[in-house]
Amino acid sequence: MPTARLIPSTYSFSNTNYLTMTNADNMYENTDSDTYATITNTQTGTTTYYIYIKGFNFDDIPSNATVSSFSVKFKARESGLSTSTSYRPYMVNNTTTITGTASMPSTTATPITFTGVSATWATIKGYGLNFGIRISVRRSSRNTTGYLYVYGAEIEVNYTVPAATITSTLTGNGTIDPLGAETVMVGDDYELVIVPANFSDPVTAKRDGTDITAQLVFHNESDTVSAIPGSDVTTGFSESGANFYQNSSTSSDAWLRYAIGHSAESPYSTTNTSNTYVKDSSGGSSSTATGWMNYPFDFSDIPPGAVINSVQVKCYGARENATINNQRVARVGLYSGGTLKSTVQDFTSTSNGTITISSPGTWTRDELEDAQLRFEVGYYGGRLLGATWTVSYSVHNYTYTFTVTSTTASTIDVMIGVQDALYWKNNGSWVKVLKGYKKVNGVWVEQDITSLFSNAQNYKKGA
Amino acid sequence: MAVNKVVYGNTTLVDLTSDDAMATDIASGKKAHNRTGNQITGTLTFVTYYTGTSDPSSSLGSNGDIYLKVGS
Repeated sequence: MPTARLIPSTYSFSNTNYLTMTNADNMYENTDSDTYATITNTQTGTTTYYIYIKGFNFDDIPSNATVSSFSVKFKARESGLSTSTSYRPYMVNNTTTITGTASMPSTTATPITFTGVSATWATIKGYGLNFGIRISVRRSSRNTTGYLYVYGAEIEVNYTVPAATITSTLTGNGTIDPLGAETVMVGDDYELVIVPANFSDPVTAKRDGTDITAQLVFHNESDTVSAIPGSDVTTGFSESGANFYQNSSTSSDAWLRYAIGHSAESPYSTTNTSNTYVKDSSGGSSSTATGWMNYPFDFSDIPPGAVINSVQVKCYGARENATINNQRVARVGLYSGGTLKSTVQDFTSTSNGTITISSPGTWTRDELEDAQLRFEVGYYGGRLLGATWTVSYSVHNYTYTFTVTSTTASTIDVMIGVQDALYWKNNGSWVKVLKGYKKVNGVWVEQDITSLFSNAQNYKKGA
Repeated sequence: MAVNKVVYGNTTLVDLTSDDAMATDIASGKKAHNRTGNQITGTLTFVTYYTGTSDPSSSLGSNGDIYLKVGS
Protein backbone atom coordinates (compact mmCIF):
# COMPACT_ATOMS: atom_id res chain seq x y z
CA MET A 1 0.00 0.00 0.00
CA PRO A 2 1.53 3.33 -1.01
CA THR A 3 2.27 5.90 1.65
CA ALA A 4 2.64 9.61 0.93
CA ARG A 5 3.93 12.23 3.28
CA LEU A 6 2.49 15.59 2.29
CA ILE A 7 4.65 18.46 3.46
CA PRO A 8 3.88 22.15 3.94
CA SER A 9 4.98 24.87 1.55
CA THR A 10 3.99 28.11 3.21
CA TYR A 11 3.09 29.74 6.51
CA SER A 12 1.56 32.84 8.02
CA PHE A 13 1.68 34.61 11.37
CA SER A 14 -1.13 35.90 13.51
CA ASN A 15 1.06 38.91 14.13
CA THR A 16 3.73 40.18 11.81
CA ASN A 17 5.08 42.90 14.05
CA TYR A 18 6.55 40.68 16.72
CA LEU A 19 7.01 37.35 15.00
CA THR A 20 9.94 36.79 12.66
CA MET A 21 11.09 33.82 10.66
CA THR A 22 14.47 32.64 9.48
CA ASN A 23 15.27 29.66 7.28
CA ALA A 24 11.64 28.95 6.45
CA ASP A 25 12.65 26.41 3.80
CA ASN A 26 13.94 24.13 6.54
CA MET A 27 10.43 23.39 7.81
CA TYR A 28 9.09 22.49 4.37
CA GLU A 29 10.15 18.92 5.04
CA ASN A 30 8.62 15.88 6.67
CA THR A 31 9.30 14.99 10.29
CA ASP A 32 12.51 13.15 9.43
CA SER A 33 14.18 16.53 9.00
CA ASP A 34 17.13 17.53 11.14
CA THR A 35 17.24 21.17 10.08
CA TYR A 36 14.85 23.77 11.33
CA ALA A 37 13.23 27.09 10.78
CA THR A 38 13.36 29.54 13.65
CA ILE A 39 10.36 31.60 14.73
CA THR A 40 11.14 34.34 17.21
CA ASN A 41 8.65 36.17 19.40
CA THR A 42 10.21 39.58 20.00
CA GLN A 43 7.38 41.14 21.96
CA THR A 44 7.99 41.99 25.59
CA GLY A 45 4.83 40.43 26.99
CA THR A 46 2.85 37.23 27.12
CA THR A 47 0.37 37.74 24.34
CA THR A 48 -0.61 34.60 22.48
CA TYR A 49 0.57 34.60 18.89
CA TYR A 50 0.52 31.77 16.41
CA ILE A 51 2.30 30.44 13.40
CA TYR A 52 0.09 28.69 10.85
CA ILE A 53 2.01 26.08 8.85
CA LYS A 54 0.11 25.41 5.64
CA GLY A 55 0.33 24.61 1.96
CA PHE A 56 0.26 20.80 2.11
CA ASN A 57 0.40 19.40 -1.41
CA PHE A 58 -2.69 17.26 -1.72
CA ASP A 59 -1.95 16.74 -5.42
CA ASP A 60 0.61 14.12 -4.31
CA ILE A 61 -2.32 11.76 -3.74
CA PRO A 62 -3.88 10.49 -7.01
CA SER A 63 -7.43 11.69 -7.47
CA ASN A 64 -8.76 8.12 -7.76
CA ALA A 65 -6.97 6.91 -4.63
CA THR A 66 -8.81 5.34 -1.75
CA VAL A 67 -7.35 6.68 1.48
CA SER A 68 -7.30 4.06 4.19
CA SER A 69 -5.75 6.15 6.95
CA PHE A 70 -3.92 9.37 7.61
CA SER A 71 -2.23 11.16 10.47
CA VAL A 72 -1.05 14.72 11.00
CA LYS A 73 2.19 15.46 12.80
CA PHE A 74 4.98 17.96 13.16
CA LYS A 75 8.48 18.02 14.60
CA ALA A 76 9.54 20.98 16.70
CA ARG A 77 11.14 22.14 19.92
CA GLU A 78 10.83 25.33 21.93
CA SER A 79 12.78 27.72 24.07
CA GLY A 80 11.14 30.26 26.35
CA LEU A 81 7.58 29.44 25.26
CA SER A 82 4.59 28.63 27.35
CA THR A 83 3.87 24.89 27.17
CA SER A 84 0.56 25.14 28.98
CA THR A 85 -2.14 22.94 27.48
CA SER A 86 -4.18 26.12 27.11
CA TYR A 87 -1.97 26.99 24.16
CA ARG A 88 -1.55 23.56 22.64
CA PRO A 89 -1.38 23.12 18.85
CA TYR A 90 -4.53 22.75 16.83
CA MET A 91 -5.32 21.81 13.31
CA VAL A 92 -6.85 24.71 11.40
CA ASN A 93 -8.81 25.58 8.33
CA ASN A 94 -7.03 28.83 7.54
CA THR A 95 -7.06 30.30 11.07
CA THR A 96 -10.17 28.52 12.35
CA THR A 97 -9.47 25.58 14.60
CA ILE A 98 -10.84 22.17 13.66
CA THR A 99 -10.91 18.99 15.67
CA GLY A 100 -7.49 17.59 16.42
CA THR A 101 -4.99 18.70 19.02
CA ALA A 102 -1.42 17.91 19.97
CA SER A 103 0.89 18.46 22.88
CA MET A 104 3.15 21.51 22.96
CA PRO A 105 6.72 21.00 21.78
CA SER A 106 9.29 20.46 24.50
CA THR A 107 12.89 21.56 24.52
CA THR A 108 13.76 18.39 22.65
CA ALA A 109 12.97 18.04 18.99
CA THR A 110 10.40 15.26 18.70
CA PRO A 111 7.69 14.35 16.19
CA ILE A 112 4.30 15.11 17.70
CA THR A 113 1.14 13.50 16.33
CA PHE A 114 -2.26 15.13 16.51
CA THR A 115 -4.91 13.19 18.35
CA GLY A 116 -8.66 13.39 18.20
CA VAL A 117 -8.62 13.87 14.44
CA SER A 118 -12.26 13.22 13.64
CA ALA A 119 -12.39 14.88 10.24
CA THR A 120 -12.39 12.58 7.23
CA TRP A 121 -9.71 12.69 4.59
CA ALA A 122 -12.21 14.28 2.20
CA THR A 123 -12.75 17.10 4.68
CA ILE A 124 -9.06 17.63 5.28
CA LYS A 125 -8.37 17.57 1.54
CA GLY A 126 -11.31 19.87 0.97
CA TYR A 127 -9.62 22.59 2.95
CA GLY A 128 -6.86 22.59 0.32
CA LEU A 129 -4.13 25.14 0.89
CA ASN A 130 -6.03 26.47 3.91
CA PHE A 131 -5.44 23.32 5.90
CA GLY A 132 -2.72 23.86 8.43
CA ILE A 133 -1.21 23.40 11.83
CA ARG A 134 -1.41 26.17 14.41
CA ILE A 135 1.35 26.37 16.99
CA SER A 136 1.47 28.94 19.76
CA VAL A 137 4.58 31.04 20.23
CA ARG A 138 3.42 32.68 23.46
CA ARG A 139 6.27 33.58 25.76
CA SER A 140 6.41 31.85 29.14
CA SER A 141 7.92 34.98 30.67
CA ARG A 142 7.33 38.48 29.37
CA ASN A 143 11.01 39.42 29.48
CA THR A 144 12.42 36.24 27.96
CA THR A 145 12.52 35.95 24.20
CA GLY A 146 10.58 32.95 22.97
CA TYR A 147 11.70 30.69 20.16
CA LEU A 148 9.99 27.93 18.25
CA TYR A 149 12.12 25.67 16.09
CA VAL A 150 10.16 23.79 13.43
CA TYR A 151 11.89 20.93 11.63
CA GLY A 152 9.02 19.78 9.49
CA ALA A 153 5.39 18.78 9.32
CA GLU A 154 3.45 16.21 7.38
CA ILE A 155 0.22 14.47 6.68
CA GLU A 156 1.10 10.82 6.35
CA VAL A 157 -1.42 9.13 4.07
CA ASN A 158 -1.88 5.44 3.39
CA TYR A 159 -3.84 4.82 0.22
CA THR A 160 -4.54 2.43 -2.59
CA VAL A 161 -5.01 3.20 -6.25
CA PRO A 162 -6.71 0.98 -8.86
CA ALA A 163 -4.07 -0.19 -11.28
CA ALA A 164 -3.47 -2.71 -14.03
CA THR A 165 -0.43 -4.83 -14.79
CA ILE A 166 0.78 -4.35 -18.35
CA THR A 167 3.37 -6.87 -19.49
CA SER A 168 5.42 -6.40 -22.63
CA THR A 169 7.56 -9.01 -24.37
CA LEU A 170 10.07 -8.75 -27.18
CA THR A 171 11.03 -11.26 -29.84
CA GLY A 172 13.82 -10.26 -32.18
CA ASN A 173 16.68 -7.80 -32.19
CA GLY A 174 16.16 -4.42 -30.64
CA THR A 175 14.88 -2.89 -27.43
CA ILE A 176 11.55 -1.97 -25.95
CA ASP A 177 10.87 0.26 -22.97
CA PRO A 178 9.34 -0.77 -20.68
CA LEU A 179 10.14 -4.48 -20.94
CA GLY A 180 8.26 -6.86 -18.68
CA ALA A 181 5.55 -6.17 -16.13
CA GLU A 182 4.60 -2.60 -15.34
CA THR A 183 1.95 -1.39 -12.93
CA VAL A 184 -0.05 1.47 -14.40
CA MET A 185 -2.71 3.37 -12.53
CA VAL A 186 -6.16 3.48 -14.05
CA GLY A 187 -6.49 6.73 -15.93
CA ASP A 188 -2.78 6.97 -16.73
CA ASP A 189 -1.19 6.39 -20.12
CA TYR A 190 0.92 3.37 -20.91
CA GLU A 191 3.67 4.31 -23.32
CA LEU A 192 5.84 1.74 -25.11
CA VAL A 193 8.95 2.74 -27.08
CA ILE A 194 10.33 0.26 -29.63
CA VAL A 195 13.78 0.66 -31.12
CA PRO A 196 14.72 -2.04 -33.69
CA ALA A 197 18.39 -2.93 -34.04
CA ASN A 198 17.86 -2.66 -37.81
CA PHE A 199 15.17 -0.36 -39.02
CA SER A 200 14.81 -2.42 -42.20
CA ASP A 201 13.40 -5.21 -40.05
CA PRO A 202 9.61 -5.36 -39.91
CA VAL A 203 8.03 -4.51 -36.56
CA THR A 204 4.75 -6.06 -35.55
CA ALA A 205 2.90 -6.16 -32.26
CA LYS A 206 -0.08 -7.83 -30.67
CA ARG A 207 -2.04 -6.79 -27.61
CA ASP A 208 -3.74 -9.67 -25.89
CA GLY A 209 -3.42 -11.62 -29.12
CA THR A 210 -4.95 -8.95 -31.36
CA ASP A 211 -2.72 -7.36 -33.96
CA ILE A 212 -1.97 -3.70 -33.16
CA THR A 213 0.77 -3.15 -35.72
CA ALA A 214 -1.29 -0.47 -37.45
CA GLN A 215 -1.41 1.50 -34.19
CA LEU A 216 2.36 1.73 -33.86
CA VAL A 217 3.55 5.26 -34.57
CA PHE A 218 6.84 5.55 -36.41
CA HIS A 219 9.04 8.52 -35.57
CA ASN A 220 12.00 9.44 -37.71
CA GLU A 221 12.92 13.06 -37.30
CA SER A 222 15.36 15.59 -35.96
CA ASP A 223 14.01 18.91 -34.83
CA THR A 224 14.52 21.96 -32.65
CA VAL A 225 11.63 23.23 -30.56
CA SER A 226 11.26 26.16 -28.21
CA ALA A 227 8.97 26.73 -25.26
CA ILE A 228 8.18 29.66 -23.00
CA PRO A 229 7.09 29.70 -19.34
CA GLY A 230 3.87 27.73 -19.09
CA SER A 231 0.57 29.24 -18.08
CA ASP A 232 -0.62 26.23 -16.13
CA VAL A 233 -0.24 28.08 -12.89
CA THR A 234 -2.43 25.80 -10.85
CA THR A 235 -0.35 22.69 -11.29
CA GLY A 236 2.85 23.89 -12.86
CA PHE A 237 3.77 27.04 -11.05
CA SER A 238 5.04 26.79 -7.54
CA GLU A 239 6.82 29.05 -5.18
CA SER A 240 8.63 28.82 -1.92
CA GLY A 241 9.50 31.72 0.29
CA ALA A 242 7.96 34.36 2.44
CA ASN A 243 6.73 37.87 1.91
CA PHE A 244 7.39 38.03 -1.77
CA TYR A 245 6.57 41.43 -2.95
CA GLN A 246 7.56 44.08 -5.37
CA ASN A 247 7.96 47.66 -4.41
CA SER A 248 5.55 49.29 -6.80
CA SER A 249 1.81 49.68 -6.76
CA THR A 250 1.27 46.61 -8.93
CA SER A 251 0.01 43.59 -7.04
CA SER A 252 2.84 41.34 -6.01
CA ASP A 253 1.09 38.26 -7.31
CA ALA A 254 1.17 39.62 -10.83
CA TRP A 255 4.87 40.30 -10.54
CA LEU A 256 5.61 36.84 -9.27
CA ARG A 257 4.15 35.39 -12.42
CA TYR A 258 5.33 38.08 -14.74
CA ALA A 259 7.28 35.83 -17.10
CA ILE A 260 4.50 33.34 -17.73
CA GLY A 261 3.72 33.15 -21.42
CA HIS A 262 6.58 35.35 -22.51
CA SER A 263 9.81 34.59 -24.28
CA ALA A 264 13.24 36.05 -23.74
CA GLU A 265 12.96 37.57 -27.18
CA SER A 266 9.52 39.10 -26.67
CA PRO A 267 8.98 39.66 -22.95
CA TYR A 268 5.79 41.01 -21.49
CA SER A 269 7.15 44.47 -20.92
CA THR A 270 10.46 46.17 -21.17
CA THR A 271 9.19 49.52 -20.05
CA ASN A 272 7.96 50.88 -16.77
CA THR A 273 9.96 48.30 -14.93
CA SER A 274 11.91 50.59 -12.68
CA ASN A 275 11.31 49.94 -9.04
CA THR A 276 9.49 46.70 -9.79
CA TYR A 277 11.29 43.74 -8.32
CA VAL A 278 10.35 40.45 -6.84
CA LYS A 279 12.14 39.87 -3.58
CA ASP A 280 12.07 37.77 -0.44
CA SER A 281 11.99 40.10 2.52
CA SER A 282 11.40 37.43 5.13
CA GLY A 283 14.70 37.87 6.87
CA GLY A 284 15.40 41.55 6.52
CA SER A 285 18.17 43.29 4.62
CA SER A 286 20.95 41.32 6.27
CA SER A 287 19.28 37.94 5.83
CA THR A 288 20.47 35.33 3.36
CA ALA A 289 16.96 33.90 3.10
CA THR A 290 15.80 33.43 -0.47
CA GLY A 291 12.58 32.47 -2.12
CA TRP A 292 11.94 31.02 -5.53
CA MET A 293 9.37 30.51 -8.21
CA ASN A 294 9.30 27.54 -10.56
CA TYR A 295 8.08 28.16 -14.10
CA PRO A 296 7.01 25.02 -16.00
CA PHE A 297 7.83 24.40 -19.66
CA ASP A 298 5.85 22.05 -21.87
CA PHE A 299 7.81 19.68 -24.13
CA SER A 300 5.13 17.04 -24.50
CA ASP A 301 5.27 17.35 -28.30
CA ILE A 302 8.72 15.78 -28.34
CA PRO A 303 8.13 12.09 -29.16
CA PRO A 304 8.80 9.54 -26.42
CA GLY A 305 12.23 7.97 -26.57
CA ALA A 306 13.74 10.96 -28.37
CA VAL A 307 17.43 11.61 -27.81
CA ILE A 308 17.97 15.14 -26.51
CA ASN A 309 20.97 16.53 -28.34
CA SER A 310 21.16 19.98 -26.78
CA VAL A 311 19.37 22.41 -24.50
CA GLN A 312 19.63 26.18 -24.50
CA VAL A 313 17.83 28.51 -22.12
CA LYS A 314 17.74 32.28 -22.34
CA CYS A 315 16.19 34.53 -19.72
CA TYR A 316 15.29 38.19 -19.94
CA GLY A 317 15.35 40.24 -16.77
CA ALA A 318 17.49 42.19 -14.35
CA ARG A 319 18.71 42.30 -10.81
CA GLU A 320 17.76 44.98 -8.25
CA ASN A 321 21.23 45.64 -6.92
CA ALA A 322 24.44 45.54 -8.91
CA THR A 323 26.30 43.70 -6.17
CA ILE A 324 26.04 39.93 -6.15
CA ASN A 325 26.20 38.40 -2.68
CA ASN A 326 24.10 36.32 -0.30
CA GLN A 327 21.59 39.09 0.32
CA ARG A 328 21.47 40.30 -3.28
CA VAL A 329 20.14 37.34 -5.21
CA ALA A 330 18.46 37.22 -8.64
CA ARG A 331 19.37 34.00 -10.37
CA VAL A 332 18.00 31.21 -12.49
CA GLY A 333 18.55 27.46 -12.72
CA LEU A 334 17.04 24.53 -14.59
CA TYR A 335 15.24 21.75 -12.74
CA SER A 336 13.66 18.46 -13.57
CA GLY A 337 11.18 18.01 -10.77
CA GLY A 338 13.18 18.90 -7.70
CA THR A 339 16.59 18.08 -9.18
CA LEU A 340 18.90 20.86 -10.33
CA LYS A 341 20.24 20.04 -13.80
CA SER A 342 22.21 23.14 -14.73
CA THR A 343 24.54 25.71 -13.36
CA VAL A 344 22.80 28.46 -11.41
CA GLN A 345 23.30 31.77 -13.11
CA ASP A 346 22.92 35.30 -11.80
CA PHE A 347 21.43 38.22 -13.61
CA THR A 348 24.41 40.51 -13.67
CA SER A 349 22.91 43.84 -14.64
CA THR A 350 20.38 46.20 -13.14
CA SER A 351 19.25 46.92 -16.70
CA ASN A 352 16.96 44.52 -18.46
CA GLY A 353 18.89 42.10 -20.63
CA THR A 354 19.22 38.53 -21.77
CA ILE A 355 21.37 35.93 -20.09
CA THR A 356 21.99 32.43 -21.42
CA ILE A 357 22.56 29.61 -18.98
CA SER A 358 26.07 28.52 -19.80
CA SER A 359 25.85 24.89 -18.70
CA PRO A 360 22.25 23.76 -19.10
CA GLY A 361 23.12 20.14 -18.38
CA THR A 362 22.43 16.85 -20.11
CA TRP A 363 18.77 15.99 -20.38
CA THR A 364 16.65 13.00 -21.26
CA ARG A 365 13.21 13.04 -22.81
CA ASP A 366 11.69 11.82 -19.53
CA GLU A 367 13.41 14.57 -17.55
CA LEU A 368 11.89 17.18 -19.85
CA GLU A 369 8.45 15.95 -18.75
CA ASP A 370 8.94 18.05 -15.62
CA ALA A 371 11.15 20.84 -16.96
CA GLN A 372 11.16 23.92 -14.76
CA LEU A 373 13.02 27.19 -14.66
CA ARG A 374 13.60 28.39 -11.12
CA PHE A 375 13.92 32.10 -10.44
CA GLU A 376 15.42 32.69 -7.01
CA VAL A 377 15.52 36.01 -5.23
CA GLY A 378 16.89 37.40 -1.99
CA TYR A 379 16.10 40.50 0.00
CA TYR A 380 17.44 42.47 -2.91
CA GLY A 381 15.77 40.61 -5.73
CA GLY A 382 15.21 40.99 -9.40
CA ARG A 383 12.72 40.65 -12.20
CA LEU A 384 12.14 37.92 -14.77
CA LEU A 385 10.26 39.19 -17.80
CA GLY A 386 10.46 36.19 -20.11
CA ALA A 387 12.37 33.07 -20.99
CA THR A 388 12.97 30.77 -23.95
CA TRP A 389 13.91 27.13 -23.55
CA THR A 390 15.14 25.52 -26.76
CA VAL A 391 15.64 21.78 -27.24
CA SER A 392 17.21 19.97 -30.19
CA TYR A 393 16.35 16.31 -30.46
CA SER A 394 16.38 13.36 -32.78
CA VAL A 395 14.18 10.33 -32.68
CA HIS A 396 14.06 7.07 -34.59
CA ASN A 397 11.63 4.62 -33.05
CA TYR A 398 8.12 3.25 -32.87
CA THR A 399 5.74 4.12 -30.06
CA TYR A 400 2.48 2.65 -28.85
CA THR A 401 0.39 4.51 -26.30
CA PHE A 402 -2.97 3.85 -24.71
CA THR A 403 -4.87 4.96 -21.65
CA VAL A 404 -5.45 2.33 -19.00
CA THR A 405 -9.18 2.27 -18.32
CA SER A 406 -9.56 -0.76 -16.07
CA THR A 407 -7.63 -3.02 -13.74
CA THR A 408 -7.66 -5.83 -16.31
CA ALA A 409 -4.15 -7.10 -17.02
CA SER A 410 -2.87 -6.82 -20.56
CA THR A 411 0.02 -8.29 -22.53
CA ILE A 412 1.80 -6.67 -25.45
CA ASP A 413 4.01 -8.85 -27.63
CA VAL A 414 6.45 -7.05 -29.90
CA MET A 415 8.22 -8.82 -32.75
CA ILE A 416 11.13 -7.25 -34.56
CA GLY A 417 12.30 -8.94 -37.77
CA VAL A 418 9.89 -11.76 -37.11
CA GLN A 419 6.87 -12.34 -39.34
CA ASP A 420 4.18 -14.98 -39.35
CA ALA A 421 5.57 -17.57 -41.75
CA LEU A 422 4.28 -20.61 -43.67
CA TYR A 423 6.48 -23.61 -44.41
CA TRP A 424 5.94 -26.55 -46.77
CA LYS A 425 7.63 -29.90 -46.27
CA ASN A 426 9.13 -31.18 -49.48
CA ASN A 427 11.27 -34.30 -49.75
CA GLY A 428 11.78 -34.32 -46.02
CA SER A 429 12.79 -30.66 -45.70
CA TRP A 430 10.75 -27.64 -44.67
CA VAL A 431 10.79 -24.89 -47.25
CA LYS A 432 9.58 -21.38 -46.47
CA VAL A 433 6.64 -20.17 -48.51
CA LEU A 434 7.57 -16.83 -50.01
CA LYS A 435 4.20 -15.95 -51.53
CA GLY A 436 0.76 -17.41 -51.69
CA TYR A 437 -1.75 -17.11 -54.55
CA LYS A 438 -5.36 -18.00 -55.09
CA LYS A 439 -6.92 -18.29 -58.51
CA VAL A 440 -9.88 -15.95 -58.81
CA ASN A 441 -11.82 -15.60 -62.07
CA GLY A 442 -8.99 -17.24 -63.95
CA VAL A 443 -6.26 -15.02 -62.51
CA TRP A 444 -3.75 -15.82 -59.78
CA VAL A 445 -4.13 -13.23 -57.03
CA GLU A 446 -1.53 -12.91 -54.25
CA GLN A 447 -2.94 -13.53 -50.78
CA ASP A 448 -1.92 -12.98 -47.18
CA ILE A 449 -0.27 -16.27 -46.39
CA THR A 450 -1.46 -16.14 -42.78
CA SER A 451 -5.04 -16.56 -43.98
CA LEU A 452 -4.43 -18.72 -47.03
CA PHE A 453 -5.49 -21.99 -45.43
CA SER A 454 -8.52 -22.83 -43.33
CA ASN A 455 -9.26 -25.64 -40.91
CA ALA A 456 -12.69 -26.03 -42.50
CA GLN A 457 -11.28 -26.93 -45.91
CA ASN A 458 -9.55 -30.03 -47.33
CA TYR A 459 -6.54 -29.75 -49.58
CA LYS A 460 -4.79 -31.97 -52.04
CA LYS A 461 -1.58 -31.59 -53.94
CA GLY A 462 -2.01 -30.82 -57.59
CA ALA A 463 0.04 -32.57 -60.19
CA MET B 1 -34.09 -53.69 -51.04
CA ALA B 2 -30.53 -52.98 -50.06
CA VAL B 3 -28.33 -55.91 -49.09
CA ASN B 4 -25.46 -55.42 -46.67
CA LYS B 5 -24.58 -59.01 -45.84
CA VAL B 6 -24.45 -62.23 -47.89
CA VAL B 7 -24.06 -65.66 -46.20
CA TYR B 8 -23.69 -68.87 -48.14
CA GLY B 9 -24.14 -71.86 -45.87
CA ASN B 10 -21.91 -71.11 -42.94
CA THR B 11 -19.68 -68.82 -44.92
CA THR B 12 -20.06 -65.03 -44.95
CA LEU B 13 -19.34 -63.84 -48.47
CA VAL B 14 -20.03 -60.12 -48.04
CA ASP B 15 -20.51 -58.11 -44.84
CA LEU B 16 -20.87 -54.31 -44.91
CA THR B 17 -22.39 -53.96 -41.45
CA SER B 18 -19.15 -52.81 -39.84
CA ASP B 19 -18.20 -50.33 -42.56
CA ASP B 20 -18.16 -46.69 -41.48
CA ALA B 21 -17.61 -44.72 -44.69
CA MET B 22 -20.13 -41.95 -45.27
CA ALA B 23 -20.80 -39.57 -48.13
CA THR B 24 -18.77 -36.87 -46.44
CA ASP B 25 -15.72 -39.14 -46.45
CA ILE B 26 -15.78 -39.84 -50.15
CA ALA B 27 -14.60 -37.57 -52.92
CA SER B 28 -17.38 -35.57 -54.42
CA GLY B 29 -19.24 -37.51 -57.14
CA LYS B 30 -17.73 -40.90 -56.41
CA LYS B 31 -20.17 -43.70 -55.67
CA ALA B 32 -19.98 -46.37 -52.96
CA HIS B 33 -22.22 -48.22 -50.48
CA ASN B 34 -22.69 -47.57 -46.85
CA ARG B 35 -23.08 -50.18 -44.13
CA THR B 36 -26.80 -50.53 -44.78
CA GLY B 37 -26.03 -51.49 -48.36
CA ASN B 38 -27.44 -48.33 -49.88
CA GLN B 39 -25.50 -46.57 -52.56
CA ILE B 40 -24.08 -43.22 -51.55
CA THR B 41 -22.43 -40.44 -53.55
CA GLY B 42 -19.41 -38.73 -52.10
CA THR B 43 -19.59 -35.06 -51.11
CA LEU B 44 -16.00 -34.47 -49.96
CA THR B 45 -14.39 -31.50 -51.76
CA PHE B 46 -10.76 -30.47 -51.97
CA VAL B 47 -8.93 -27.34 -52.84
CA THR B 48 -6.00 -28.19 -55.03
CA TYR B 49 -2.72 -26.56 -54.22
CA TYR B 50 0.34 -26.33 -56.37
CA THR B 51 3.88 -25.40 -55.50
CA GLY B 52 6.77 -23.92 -57.41
CA THR B 53 9.76 -21.66 -57.12
CA SER B 54 8.49 -19.13 -59.65
CA ASP B 55 5.24 -17.22 -60.09
CA PRO B 56 2.30 -19.40 -61.17
CA SER B 57 1.53 -19.89 -64.85
CA SER B 58 -1.83 -18.46 -65.88
CA SER B 59 -2.78 -21.75 -67.48
CA LEU B 60 -2.27 -23.65 -64.24
CA GLY B 61 -5.19 -24.69 -62.03
CA SER B 62 -8.79 -23.66 -61.65
CA ASN B 63 -10.68 -21.02 -59.73
CA GLY B 64 -10.24 -21.51 -56.00
CA ASP B 65 -6.95 -23.36 -56.34
CA ILE B 66 -3.91 -22.27 -54.33
CA TYR B 67 -0.34 -21.80 -55.41
CA LEU B 68 2.59 -21.63 -53.02
CA LYS B 69 5.74 -19.98 -54.24
CA VAL B 70 8.53 -21.49 -52.17
CA GLY B 71 12.21 -20.85 -51.78
CA SER B 72 14.44 -22.96 -53.94
